[in-house]
Amino acid sequence: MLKKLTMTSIALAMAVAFTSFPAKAQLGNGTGTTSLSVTVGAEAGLTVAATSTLASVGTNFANYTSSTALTYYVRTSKTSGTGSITAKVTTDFSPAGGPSVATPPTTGDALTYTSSGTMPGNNSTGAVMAFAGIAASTSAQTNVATFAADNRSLITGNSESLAWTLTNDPKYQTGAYSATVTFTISAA
Amino acid sequence: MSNARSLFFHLCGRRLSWIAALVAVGLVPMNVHAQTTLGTQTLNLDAEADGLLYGFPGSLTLSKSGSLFNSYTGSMTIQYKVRTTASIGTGSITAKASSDFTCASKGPCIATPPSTGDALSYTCTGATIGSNCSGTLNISTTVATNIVTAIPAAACTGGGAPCSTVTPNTVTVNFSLTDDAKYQTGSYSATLIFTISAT
Repeated sequence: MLKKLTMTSIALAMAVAFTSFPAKAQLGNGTGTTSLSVTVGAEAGLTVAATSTLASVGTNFANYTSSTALTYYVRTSKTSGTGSITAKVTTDFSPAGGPSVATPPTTGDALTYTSSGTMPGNNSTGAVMAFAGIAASTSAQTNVATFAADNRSLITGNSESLAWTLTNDPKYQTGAYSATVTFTISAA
Repeated sequence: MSNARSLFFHLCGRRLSWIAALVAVGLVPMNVHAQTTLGTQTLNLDAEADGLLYGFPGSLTLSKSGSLFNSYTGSMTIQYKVRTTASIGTGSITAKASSDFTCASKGPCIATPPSTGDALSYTCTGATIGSNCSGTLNISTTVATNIVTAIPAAACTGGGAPCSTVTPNTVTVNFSLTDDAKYQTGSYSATLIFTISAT
């Protein structure tokens, strides 16, 4: 009885001993994969120099002229996209006594521009980069450029410029005057 | 009396069985005055170097804020376990694009970027065993690039000395994808494969 009990105990002990050593458990893998995704949407941005100075050449009341250079970045939607660059005089000339966009001192006085530039570098179908003789406005956005579907600029941007003309009315008092023009680019 | 005696021996037998079982599992020390060696066996365990990617997300979406063509970004944390050979062992985790974005769709492309300088790049931070990859690296479709390097010899993932103090070990990978205006609008995806090795 005791011998049988002893044998049983030894056998049980060995069984426990063998099963106490852990097996090599595989909880993961040596390789794994991840799906990386991105949604590319319509997007637009631009940069512009801080100031442009209008100047008149000669002394016979030739119009004041200047130019403003823009760099634009645009991507419109592939199938039905649109976009534009516009300008608006958000702060009229001041101080009083000189030129004015909203209330010209003399009928016919105006701040106008002609735009031109490079087409979007990676697809320009339908884009219009030139608008001539546009009168700047304090109450409405006026077109500088327009974009169509799937227009895409270069990663380094494309260029656009405005050639300004301001009537040199003798009615203006001498002095320094400034206005603020805000450019807006959009893409959908 | 005989019933009590029978009961006594019955209870003793049961008690002995319990004691024998407890002895077998080593819970009750038993003083044995005489032992007979029935045989011996040497049990060997070969704990080999091993590495396991324990867990990480099956997908990651890159996104962006702002509008002036700043890069798309996203981060993921990889969990891993590792054991390296004493004295001469080492280990690493690498990544490679096993399938590219659909380049013909005029979106991002790893193998042939639409513009020079376009890239799917990444940095590595917070490796809890081994070293983070150095600097900013570009994902490649042809070459596996480092995520974790220099997992040292005799390293092991665990809950205290001599193993690392954390389990599982982790590392964070921070991705950045150039937002090239040349990409057509749309959704694009690529597949990255991560591999851990240990010697």
